[in-house]
Amino acid sequence: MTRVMITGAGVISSAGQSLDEFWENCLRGVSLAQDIPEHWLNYYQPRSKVWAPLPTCDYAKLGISRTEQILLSIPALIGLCAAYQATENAGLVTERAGKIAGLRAETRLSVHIGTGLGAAHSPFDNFATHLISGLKPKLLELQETYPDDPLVRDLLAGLKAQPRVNPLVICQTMPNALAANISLRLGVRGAVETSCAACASGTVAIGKAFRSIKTGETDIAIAGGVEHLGDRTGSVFMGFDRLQTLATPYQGLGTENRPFDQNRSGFLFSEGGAAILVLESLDSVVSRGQESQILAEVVGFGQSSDAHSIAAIAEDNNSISGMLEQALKEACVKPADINYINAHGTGTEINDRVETGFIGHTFHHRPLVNSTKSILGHTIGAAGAFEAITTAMSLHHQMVHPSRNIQNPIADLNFPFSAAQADLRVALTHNFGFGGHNAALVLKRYEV
Amino acid sequence: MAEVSVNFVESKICELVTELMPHAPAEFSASLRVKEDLGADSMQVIALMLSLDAEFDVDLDPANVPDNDVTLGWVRDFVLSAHTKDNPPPL
Repeated sequence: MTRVMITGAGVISSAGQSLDEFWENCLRGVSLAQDIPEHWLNYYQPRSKVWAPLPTCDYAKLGISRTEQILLSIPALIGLCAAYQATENAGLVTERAGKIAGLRAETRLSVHIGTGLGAAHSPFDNFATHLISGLKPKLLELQETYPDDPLVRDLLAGLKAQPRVNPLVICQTMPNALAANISLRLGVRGAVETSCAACASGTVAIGKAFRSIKTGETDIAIAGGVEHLGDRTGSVFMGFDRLQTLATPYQGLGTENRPFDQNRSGFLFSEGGAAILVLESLDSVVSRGQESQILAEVVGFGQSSDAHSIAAIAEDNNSISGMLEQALKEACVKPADINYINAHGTGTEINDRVETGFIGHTFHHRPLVNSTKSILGHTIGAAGAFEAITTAMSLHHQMVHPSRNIQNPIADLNFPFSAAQADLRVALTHNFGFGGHNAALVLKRYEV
Repeated sequence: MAEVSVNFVESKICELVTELMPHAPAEFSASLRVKEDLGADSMQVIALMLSLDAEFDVDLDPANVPDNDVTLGWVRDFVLSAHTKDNPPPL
């Protein structure tokens, strides 16, 4: 059976715009929480007051042309940036933003991208001016009340002339645009798929890439997750806040986000990010002479559905158990073989209670357990891909990052409170998404 | 607000196509064709339209662009016709 390796990874995130920067910040357990933009409070009084915004990207430096910056949505841009990094790290391209070349003629390439909301902000931002043009007099009144409000200022600036529609709004909004743009920029002509499974999207996309290589359908897959949840009014933030899923104030900035702590109150809303991996058959890696680039091996994938609730995880664990059983069986390992679990670890009351109950019940030998979301916040459709990268880096470097802000653990699990060296051979990473989507990957340290 | 000058429009169009098109012109020439001479593909033409919109506040609807390859002179005249003394651009 074909062995599947991870040979490259790239990230655009609140914690860094390169793999090394991201990993270093994970090990440091940095806090990324910042106050939400003040003008959002003009439209809504949220329970949560913090988010983890993305840094400003220098797209030109990251390999994005001026034309692409005009034509593409933000998630498409950050997805491309991460894909460029990943293919560079894997040695598949010789220059940034170059097409994949120099492979054997029969080599097959594919793209598998997970996203929760696609580019949902695009229609809003594109049509907002169009829709509210009749309200210009009211906006002028609003500007008198809120003279410094950037949204009102921007909207009025956009209303100087007749409203018009961006001819590319559909091309920007369609969720498959993220995978399609990677395909056409890198010259990938095999399967190009989009997985949409809420918070499990990235995990599912990587799982499908793994299976496509394992079954011989493709040799190299660009796979991961992309999400962008920023919009001018904070409407996505408000939606999650209204559902009471976001972290509320605790003991100051940076303490709100506390997965697996007794005083958790929800997740840290991330503006999003892109996490892209290169998965590749071992034969392909060897033929390219790139064994030194291998970060980890993917050995198992499982997925299931709760068929229970559109937003809440099922408390009985049956579906999660089924997911895990599939993944471990495919990986040919037992629960006792798992040394490390990169948990879903959102910080919501119900997720952490159900997840720790499941881990404690299934893994009696106290594997290390941490939550990357305790640092990065929740990137929704990209989360599983970020966590797969973190898991691969942990296996590669034999280190785990701390799980932030656990003062009073809700369960007696083996949480690292600081970055720690560890003898890691087999690791599990899993995600549970709105809609009841569950997905898990089993990764191994690469051994010849 | 002053009427937009021909020189200003030409220099700004030259600046945009230099940034967006594969084959940048040394200077503005009304006869240069966007696709044939500057090497633009259809997406680069749309990028130029969106940039002109942002720069001059003109609605360059794809339906109003001739099917044949437009020249920089056509683009200049479109911008100028959209902005007369009574309807200046937001410069």
